[in-house]
Amino acid sequence: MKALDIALKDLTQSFRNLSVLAFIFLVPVLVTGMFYLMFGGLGGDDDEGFALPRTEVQIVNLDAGGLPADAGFLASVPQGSDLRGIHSMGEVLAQFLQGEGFAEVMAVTAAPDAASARTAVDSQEAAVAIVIPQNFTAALIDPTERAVVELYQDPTLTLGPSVVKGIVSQFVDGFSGSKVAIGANVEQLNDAGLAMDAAQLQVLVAQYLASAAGQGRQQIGGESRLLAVVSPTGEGDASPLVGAVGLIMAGMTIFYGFFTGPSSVQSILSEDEKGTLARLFTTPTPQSTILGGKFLATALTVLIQFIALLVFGSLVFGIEWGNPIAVGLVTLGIVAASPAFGIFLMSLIKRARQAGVVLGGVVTLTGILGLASIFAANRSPAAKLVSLFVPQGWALRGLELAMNGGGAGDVLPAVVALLAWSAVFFVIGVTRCRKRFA
Amino acid sequence: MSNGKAIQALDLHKSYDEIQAVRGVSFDVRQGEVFALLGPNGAGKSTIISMLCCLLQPSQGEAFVMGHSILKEPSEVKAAIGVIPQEVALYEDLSARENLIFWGKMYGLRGPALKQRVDEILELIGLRARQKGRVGKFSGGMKRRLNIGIGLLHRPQVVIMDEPTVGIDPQSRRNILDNVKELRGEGMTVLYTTHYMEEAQELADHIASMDMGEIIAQGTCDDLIKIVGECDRVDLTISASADRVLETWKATPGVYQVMPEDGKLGLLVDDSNLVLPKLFESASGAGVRITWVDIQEPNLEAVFLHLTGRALRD
Repeated sequence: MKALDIALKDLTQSFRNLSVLAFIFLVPVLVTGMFYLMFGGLGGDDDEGFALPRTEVQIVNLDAGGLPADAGFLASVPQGSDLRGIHSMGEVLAQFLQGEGFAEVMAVTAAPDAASARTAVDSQEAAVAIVIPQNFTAALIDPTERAVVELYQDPTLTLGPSVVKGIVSQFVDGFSGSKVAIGANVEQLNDAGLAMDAAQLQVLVAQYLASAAGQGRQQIGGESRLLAVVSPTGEGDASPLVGAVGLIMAGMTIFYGFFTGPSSVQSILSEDEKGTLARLFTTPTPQSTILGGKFLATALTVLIQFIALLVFGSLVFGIEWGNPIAVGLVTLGIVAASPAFGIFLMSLIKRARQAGVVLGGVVTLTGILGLASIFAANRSPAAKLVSLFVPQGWALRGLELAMNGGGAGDVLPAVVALLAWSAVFFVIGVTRCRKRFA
Repeated sequence: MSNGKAIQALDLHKSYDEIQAVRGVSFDVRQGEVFALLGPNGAGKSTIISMLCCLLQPSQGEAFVMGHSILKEPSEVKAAIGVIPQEVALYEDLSARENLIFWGKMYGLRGPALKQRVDEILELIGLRARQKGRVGKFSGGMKRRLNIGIGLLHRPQVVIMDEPTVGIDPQSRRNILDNVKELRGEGMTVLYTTHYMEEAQELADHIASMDMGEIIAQGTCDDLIKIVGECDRVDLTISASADRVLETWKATPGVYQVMPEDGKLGLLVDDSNLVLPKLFESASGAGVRITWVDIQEPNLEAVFLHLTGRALRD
């Protein structure tokens, strides 16, 4: 009961302090809002939140082809295949990029030649020029032939060209796979004494093409999907940019949540210096109850902050945080980890004057480590791995899994990791505090 | 059992590395009396208080508060005492009433009993009208009064007041001294530390005079004054450096102590009527003019000077 009294007293003090309120609620919202505005989220005509600016792409198809146009070949192509009427891999790629599925993220127009396409990029009329080489199809048939698709981009732009590069890479990877598979088939048949003639080889190529074209449609979602955001647990339907703002908001919530814990726990140092802690120790209140009350106050502050920011993100930015139970579990982990982290850090500090620098420095550094993967190029796996060395990284992992459709079972490892961090921090911190105030 | 003793300190020691803050202090405080620990800053008074409040463990020795060991029964000791620390220890973001309610809860008070006691304390310390005001906006005197009120919330058997009048205005000081007298009138035991001789003299039934971590004398005020017999305390201001008369005056018959302090010279003399003419004469011979003289009856200041050779305010 006394622990609750101490917690309520601390909460009253915190929530009467305007600078504390601003730091807990306003700053994370402002930072996320800044990113939201940077992406033009408020400039859209609809209510979907983010709208990725369409990337102007000029495509030049120099592919000379190499597929037969006779009836025999066409007869070998599966019914309903997109290959009917198409005679080169260059056409497949061009059609793939010009498909409706990508219409929202890029506007593809055909350029007469490579030079004019590059000129369009140089003059910033287009962001990217794609040049499909003359031997693109031939390279598929002939294992010794090497073809290179050129991506010429405006160096001042990053987001749009990255998206285009990702899409083209996806196609080219499939192309390379087909090329390897065809080569392996031909070699195996040769080894078995069943040499293929040119016509048989063309039919085989056509079948691979049909398969590749079909996969391309699947990859782009066929109907309305642009890019399927595939999570380790399943697929999500959110737009990638709504997802990006969600991730940034999640990052800010975690970053400032882990600031709030140590900042609130700092009140122990402040009370120590003002004499109220010593006075508390003269009352018949056990030291563990006093520390427990401080922990509870911090945990409640983080909980209130977290819930407020999640609700705000959902209402204002349209962020879907995912399964409520999964989000609740991750929140529980953060609410335990942040104060424990604070008690641990506080136990290393002697005076409140040092607290600003030390707490600020450590929390910022661990925050950067834990959340860098949000901003790392292509969500770098290395950055994700490094993030797991700090609790903020596990918090982000848990929240990201929930946002991508993960359930309670999926986020459980991250929650367990957060609770383990909490236990370690709490035990070390409390042990040090007990010695200090003994 | 407490055997009529509210506090019993037995050979208390406290050392920090090489420093011995308290060296073998023993004293008894009877129930219902005001006991003063009198001594200059650094004498060890606050360290003794910290040990009695179970904030510090003695390096050696033991103490009992209302019969409870500070080493073995700290919870019982804490429940029996009300501590009024030297520095104001309040939550400035909270109102006076909120502070009292919070601290009352820490002492185990709840519900209507807490509300009633808070009202009584607000009345006692004269802050009823300002009970909803933020403490951060209070004057120093108001904070001091609230600081005292918190220590009295749970009707403690023993009130421990650590230099409660340091750095406050005369009116607030007067109020605090009157409060202590009221507490004694209500039968509370008060352990009061101070370096103001007048406070100890006015309030205390028993006094322990401390210096350098030790009790150098203890008893009633009269007992202590008897130590210096019929000596007078004479303070003088002279027109030149004290060095010019110091040795001569020390050698003057009837002079026990000469101590320069704050631009003055403090002397402990046998009979001021007989000694003063000799002092004037020797000063004149040294070309020094005596510009101010103050003669005091024997008091605790004189006792301290007699026992330590130093003034209480050092």
